[in-house]
Amino acid sequence: MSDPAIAGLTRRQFLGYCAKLAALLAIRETAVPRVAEALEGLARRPSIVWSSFMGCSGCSAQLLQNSSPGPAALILRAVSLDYHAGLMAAAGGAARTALDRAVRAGGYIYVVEGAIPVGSPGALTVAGRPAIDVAREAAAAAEYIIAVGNCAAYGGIPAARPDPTGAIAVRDALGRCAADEGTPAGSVVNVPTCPANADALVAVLTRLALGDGNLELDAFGRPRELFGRTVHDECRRRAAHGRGEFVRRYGGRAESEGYCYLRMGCKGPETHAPCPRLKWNDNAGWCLDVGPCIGCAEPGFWDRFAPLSSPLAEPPGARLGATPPETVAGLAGAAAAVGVGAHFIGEAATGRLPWSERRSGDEHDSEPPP
Amino acid sequence: MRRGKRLSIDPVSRVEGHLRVTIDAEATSRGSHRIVAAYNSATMFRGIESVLEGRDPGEVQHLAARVCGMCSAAHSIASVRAVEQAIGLPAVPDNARLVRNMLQAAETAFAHIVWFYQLNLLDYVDVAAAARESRPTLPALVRLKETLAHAVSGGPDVASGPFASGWWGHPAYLLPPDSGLELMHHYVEALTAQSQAASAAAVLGGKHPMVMNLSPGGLSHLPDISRVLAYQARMRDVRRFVEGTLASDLSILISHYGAALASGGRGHGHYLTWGAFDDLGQDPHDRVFPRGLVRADEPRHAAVDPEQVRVYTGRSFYPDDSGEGRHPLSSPQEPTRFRGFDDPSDKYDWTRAPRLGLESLSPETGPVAQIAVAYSRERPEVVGLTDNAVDSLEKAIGLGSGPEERGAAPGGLPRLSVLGSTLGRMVARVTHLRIVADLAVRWADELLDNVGRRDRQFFSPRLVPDRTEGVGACDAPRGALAHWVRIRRGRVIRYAIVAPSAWNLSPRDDRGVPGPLEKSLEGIELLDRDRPLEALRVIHSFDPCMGCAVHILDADKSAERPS
Repeated sequence: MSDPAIAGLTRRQFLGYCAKLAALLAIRETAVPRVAEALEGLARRPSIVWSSFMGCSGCSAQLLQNSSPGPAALILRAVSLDYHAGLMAAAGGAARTALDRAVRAGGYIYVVEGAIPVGSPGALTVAGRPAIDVAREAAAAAEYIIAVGNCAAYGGIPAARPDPTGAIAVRDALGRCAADEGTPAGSVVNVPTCPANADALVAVLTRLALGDGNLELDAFGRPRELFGRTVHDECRRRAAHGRGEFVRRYGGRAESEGYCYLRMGCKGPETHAPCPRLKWNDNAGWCLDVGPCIGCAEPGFWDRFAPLSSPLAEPPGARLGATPPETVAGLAGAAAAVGVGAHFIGEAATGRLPWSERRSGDEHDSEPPP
Repeated sequence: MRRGKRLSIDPVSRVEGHLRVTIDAEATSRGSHRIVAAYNSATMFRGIESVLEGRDPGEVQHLAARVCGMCSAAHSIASVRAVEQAIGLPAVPDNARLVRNMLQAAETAFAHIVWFYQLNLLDYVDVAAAARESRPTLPALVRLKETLAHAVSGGPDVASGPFASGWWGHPAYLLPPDSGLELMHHYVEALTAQSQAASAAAVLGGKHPMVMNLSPGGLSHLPDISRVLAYQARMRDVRRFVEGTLASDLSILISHYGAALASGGRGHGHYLTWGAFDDLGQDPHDRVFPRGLVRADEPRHAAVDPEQVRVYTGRSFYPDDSGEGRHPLSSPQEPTRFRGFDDPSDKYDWTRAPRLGLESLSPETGPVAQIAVAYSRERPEVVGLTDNAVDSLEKAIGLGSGPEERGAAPGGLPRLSVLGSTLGRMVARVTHLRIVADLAVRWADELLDNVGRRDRQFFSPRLVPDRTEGVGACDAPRGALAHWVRIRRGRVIRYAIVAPSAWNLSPRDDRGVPGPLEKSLEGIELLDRDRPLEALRVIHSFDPCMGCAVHILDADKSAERPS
């Protein structure tokens, strides 16, 4: 905490940072010096223009939790943070001027936090201008666009039923092409989860700053290297799942014995996210340490997975990766139908698991031995 | 009424969310301007409560957390408390109480540290002057000076940065450049300290913001000993930073700004807190920071109940309520047509005006309120540190200031009068932070004791009744927070939130009475009307959180959308 050298990274810190980035992006370790060289060779720091629209600032709060290079080095040294209303000194007209200047210069990475209420432009204005106008102008001069957090990537909670303001994802609001039809340059790179994971964001920022327009995106605009696998696949409770060991109510010993949270509503099998690898808040932990996954990396998760506390319903004939976005709304009804009326909170619904990847062993109905 | 020249600050930067402040100022004989009226407008409306309707009571804590990325744990906790009251669960197992307190303590530390340095400090440190005129000798400070210079005006590899375009050179900046550089050094260290605090919350909650370990009834997980120790180690580091660095930085600000800021920026003199951090008995009226109302005209705190809250919409973008305030859960409302923020004599805010009791008080909330009520109830954790803080503040601003100069607030507690000002709010927030950082470490010890005694309870199951409702009222880092829930046939059918910034940044009510920030801005002198730095200081002293402030109470799903 008392490290006074934060104002500049030491060489060793810098290489550590590059190694971590390489690991995140599945770059071979032998390539780390090349990443370092490329970053050092940048004549200009990447310019970042950050718009917070219809969100809660949780992604901005996460930005300050990145583990490498650390929050101070990130915002004061690694990038040129040219506009971020939550952190910048300028207010009012001076802030508007700062944005205008950045837009005139162009060539920045435009990071958008929050959804855009196109149905009700008056529901979010900045200096009297609807968010969509600000977004269009700033996007037009950007080299890349990153939608950070589930709200920006897919509409998030503002777009959950009944979508009170007609909020939509950044890519849709800007009319950009679907990710799998183009490169990041022509589309929007989505870095979902709620909030966005700071380390995932920094990895993507770095990759784009290095001019890597080949970052491969999945059908939902997410970088495949980070979002290619499900939470369930890499979960440390996965083995318990295989043994049929499930947490069936809160308050017992099962959860601390590493039993699987599937019956308590875990959405890990259908959630594509790097959480098991990246963890959160500088490796302090992650969701499955303490409770079920709520599926926050997925489009429409608030509705599709509702109620979050109930076990997954198996989507009819489809696993998520193959699910086109149009059908997402339809699936919401199927999942919600699992919900029942009067019930206990914190206990799994009785009966067989609706979601059944279960292949081996019987479920253990009893608690683990004390 | 005198109106003077109108100006607006939009966006107000370094706050959570979207805020516009409109100011009417008139010229003074000294060539400066004085604020005669102010209007705050939240410029975003999300309608999260309507999203909460139809939900399962076991999942609402996850949605409620998304009200605010700065104080998500506080919203989750208020939400599970509301559901717990509804399902007839007055107390949770002691381990759950401790973990919730620890989560909220870590989040409070995170929020207050970010507020002191990242949000507030740039109103007091002229970064451009520090980058230009300071004369550092330590290598770290020499490097920092260069870093700051680049963040102000660009450098070899950068065109500008977060400190470009500040109101640098403003005559209200009083700190010498060398002190400014030192404080900016701590701005950098604070970025590490706040992440320590947030990661302490993540150790228990899986991540922060948006902790994942809460459920109505208790927790979904009991941390093991190694996790509790990891939390405690982080909070010890945080406490060390707060005591060793942040507290002395506050003293530096007091010594340079005490005279200028200790009298202005006062609200109505009423202070409200629902209380924060459950004690062993989990009595909502007897928390570590107890519940209560301090009025400008009464010598002691008064009891207060969330059922006394009424909400007015005469100046907000919702249909008029014919002058009758409504209970947060009671009346269907829908947004009305958005008319812009240009005419504050009409509707001008997405926030509604919450008022308290028969007299419709517009109380301020936050650390000043928590400390005033706890002080009035002679809580030992609070009295000593508060006395010290008040003494040092009074000393710095000169003992000559009589009661009439100090103003009336917090009225009933003349001893704490100085806390009612812009600077007083800052002192109270830091005092609050010091108390909470210390409590965090102690609660970790208590949890270790419990677990050592093999007390492993952390959840109490309850059946959800067919028809019920409840309220969870407890303070967030920024003050009084309450969630109301109504449940029918196992589903949430109505949900309402009145958050701290709804109180502090309330618009005028139907009678025209301004909210606390609006009132506090009245009378503030602006040396340079085009760069209203002094107004920014008053605004930031409240630590506004606009995502929290705006909530519709009940959306009819067929409502016309605001356009």
